[in-house]
Amino acid sequence: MKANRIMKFLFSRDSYCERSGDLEEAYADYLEEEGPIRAKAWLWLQILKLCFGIIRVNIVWRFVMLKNYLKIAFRNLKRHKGYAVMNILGLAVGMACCILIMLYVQYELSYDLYHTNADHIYRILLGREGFIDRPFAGSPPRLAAALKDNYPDVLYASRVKNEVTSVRYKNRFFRENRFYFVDSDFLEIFDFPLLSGNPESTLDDPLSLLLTNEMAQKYFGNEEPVGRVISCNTYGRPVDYRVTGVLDNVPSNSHFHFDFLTPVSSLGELRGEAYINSWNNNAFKTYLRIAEDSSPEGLTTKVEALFAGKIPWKPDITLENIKDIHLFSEANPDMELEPNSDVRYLHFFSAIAFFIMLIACFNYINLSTANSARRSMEIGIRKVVGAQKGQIARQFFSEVLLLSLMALILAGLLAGLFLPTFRSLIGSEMNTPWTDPAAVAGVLGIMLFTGIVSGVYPALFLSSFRPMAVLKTRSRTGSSNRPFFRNTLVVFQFVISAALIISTVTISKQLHYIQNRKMGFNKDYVLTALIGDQSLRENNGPLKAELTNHPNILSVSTSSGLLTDIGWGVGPDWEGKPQDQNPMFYKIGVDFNYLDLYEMDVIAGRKFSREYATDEKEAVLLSETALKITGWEDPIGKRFDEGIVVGIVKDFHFEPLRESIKPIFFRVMTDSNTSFFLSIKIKSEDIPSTLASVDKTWKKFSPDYPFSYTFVDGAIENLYRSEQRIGNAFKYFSLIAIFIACLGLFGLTSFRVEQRTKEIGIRKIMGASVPKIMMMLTFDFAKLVLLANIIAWPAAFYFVNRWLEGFAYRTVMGPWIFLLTGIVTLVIALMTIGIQSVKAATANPADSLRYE
Amino acid sequence: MKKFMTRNEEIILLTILKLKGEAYGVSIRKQIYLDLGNRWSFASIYQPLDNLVRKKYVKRIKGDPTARRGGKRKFYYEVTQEGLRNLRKLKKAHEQVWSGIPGISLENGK
Repeated sequence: MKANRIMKFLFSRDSYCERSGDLEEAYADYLEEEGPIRAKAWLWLQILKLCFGIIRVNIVWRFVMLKNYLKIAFRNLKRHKGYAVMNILGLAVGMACCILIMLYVQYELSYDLYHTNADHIYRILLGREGFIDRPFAGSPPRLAAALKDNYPDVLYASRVKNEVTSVRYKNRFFRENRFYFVDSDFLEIFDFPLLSGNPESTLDDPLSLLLTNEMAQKYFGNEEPVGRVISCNTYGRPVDYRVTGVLDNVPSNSHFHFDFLTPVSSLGELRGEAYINSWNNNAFKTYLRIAEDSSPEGLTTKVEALFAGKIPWKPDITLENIKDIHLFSEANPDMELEPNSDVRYLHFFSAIAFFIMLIACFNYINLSTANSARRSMEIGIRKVVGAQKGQIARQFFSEVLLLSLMALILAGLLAGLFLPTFRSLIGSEMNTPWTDPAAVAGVLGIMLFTGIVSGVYPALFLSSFRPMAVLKTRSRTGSSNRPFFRNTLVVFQFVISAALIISTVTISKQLHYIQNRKMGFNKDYVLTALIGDQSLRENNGPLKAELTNHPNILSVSTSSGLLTDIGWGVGPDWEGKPQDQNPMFYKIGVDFNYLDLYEMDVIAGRKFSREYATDEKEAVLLSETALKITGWEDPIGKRFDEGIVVGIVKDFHFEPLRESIKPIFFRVMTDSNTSFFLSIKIKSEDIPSTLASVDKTWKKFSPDYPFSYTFVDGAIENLYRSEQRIGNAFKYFSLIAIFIACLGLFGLTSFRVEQRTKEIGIRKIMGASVPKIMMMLTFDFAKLVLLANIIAWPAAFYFVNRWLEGFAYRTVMGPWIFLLTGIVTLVIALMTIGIQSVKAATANPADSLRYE
Repeated sequence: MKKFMTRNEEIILLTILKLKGEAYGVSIRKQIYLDLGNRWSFASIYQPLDNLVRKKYVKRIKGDPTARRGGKRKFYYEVTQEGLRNLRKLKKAHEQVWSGIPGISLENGK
């Protein structure tokens, strides 16, 4: 019975026995007289009244005492201002870190939850059986319709494809990167509210277009967008679309963001019906909403069955829930609509927040137990006039809570102040409002955590004072008590600080290593641009010729992919390939001077050359790694992927250094539909004017596509953005950690010095020198910091090494990192201690001995 | 000077006396209903009871569990000597205060 459980919680055992027994007996009477409904109502009313009684007795009266506790707490804070400032500041900085990180974690966890049916929305990941790489987010365009036709469990299914499109309306002309082709089910699967337009028929007409509110403002300003005609150029031919509706902007916590939505069928008209309706390309993403009672596990094999006979290899399907995409995606990031995050970052930042908070709490514990002498008299008196141990504990607890409440207010201000900095630091667009209930609960949770962690020990410690001992001796009983416990906490604080410093140094060393490692090609002063215009791709000779004529342009070349994003993988056949193996090779189609432009080395055979008439049709260049996979001793002249190998290229890095080098081969493709990218090597001087003239030439050849370029070295840096963020975050958080730890150390030293004033005075009179006394004072804490370092080194080594292992190419953590950390922490600690020690050591012994 | 007990405490103390050893939560409540015609909530019985126990005017005695109570014990209450003494004092005080008030003025005051 629920009532029983509540009462058991409220009362002691005997009272519970009596009360619940009585109630049950009376309830039985009622049941006979009044029937079950009224009896039940009566019962609950009785319980409610019992609860109120308890609240009155226990809380209201405690509140009266609480007022007294708070008054005393305030007086104490006022009397020891330095101590109060140190405590509040430490706690506030720690809390501010926690609040920011908690907001970040909550924001990251909220991704895609705004869809009403988020639990039942899945996307298809396509893998290949026996394939080592992770599955891709791509799937054939035919799949969505086939799923809907064959399985009633699939309520809605939509293809999704993002294409870069040039959009023109009157004089407004922009290149749009988020132009999505979708099916009409798209709006049934996801929740994207329509602001204007007819909800029944927004995507029915092949040339209809939905745009977000932001885009409506951008193109139409104050005009009414619905019904207007806008020209969009996706594949070299401008097409007129009619705007049928305006959607609300996509929330920032969505794993994809579109600006325009248009039916896939319009893509069919541009690229042919086969492109949007075949089993043979995987350029689309497939999203589905399944019935509430069906499970994705059962559906997986059914989806795989659909592929039977349609494609030559065996698919390995995964259904990934939309809520898992942002943090837990198993997919290869290459085909994602937008880069995802990783739950590891969340763990990682939460751990930092937790440790920083612990450091701050330990400060409080240390300072309040060290200073307990100041309170011993008060505790003694309270006990003598009848306070129970529990009451004293409660008093000190309410003091902590008061302190953490003050810290919380300061922390809120700090967090608000640093929110923009933090946002750009970790690259998250978090925008949780302050009134969000989860955020409020989190903030209060942080405060309670702080209060409990830092309050429990001091409360128990202080409340255990024996009144007689404290009052009779008038001594500082608690003061020198248990220095071991306080020392342990100090060591712990510095273990964390040292570990953070070691991580910071190693991470920045690894980043430096990555960015300065020889890539195997020259990335400097090379810019790349996407050729959007298909006809220009198929006839790019004149463009290249005109660009090459420019005095500041050294070389121009086209290729099918970028060295930072090859984007093309195949399973080729070759001479002597074992039947049971089907490894994937990356493939890139290049023109004749591509290898020269990027200064890649050929270690055997020759480069592609116009002198050989057959090169254009059949020449193949393999990379070293690709050669290793084929197992050939003498590769030149061997057949590979319907071509003949003419040379071997020295290995180069075309993926982040996290990955080991993958096999790749080159084919010649000069004026082809796949010559997507233009690479231009320019001189280092006067770059802006070179760019301006490239833009002019570009406009002449490709009027419908604005010129938009990327520098290759910038693109490579982008690959390491998440590492860079972690590196930066570490920098700041280790600074904060050591700052808080030093605050505590400062407090402890000043306490220790105060305690030993007399001793120091006597020592000086007996002839001790100032340095000797400083040595004596600093050595106590210095040895703690050293001990902390010795503990931190192996721990940090273990964790940082695990992070490093994620990279195929990594730097070594030399012993100097550890020594440096040791020296840095020691110096900082000594400086902190030094201020107090100097003061104590140089004080006039006459003054210090007179202080009583 | 010790404060008098509250009116509720007084009623409950008297009821316990009236029930002569058969006083426990349910029976006290029932008796009050018979005497006054009010159904008191259990909360308003236990609270004065707890106070009476704390003031040592009443003793709690463990009884035996019965089936009707879900196998839980009864707790009987018994008035102590001190409770009786206090009750007498209270009664005397009542009479003192009330004496000299003419019956008529009461009727009119209503």
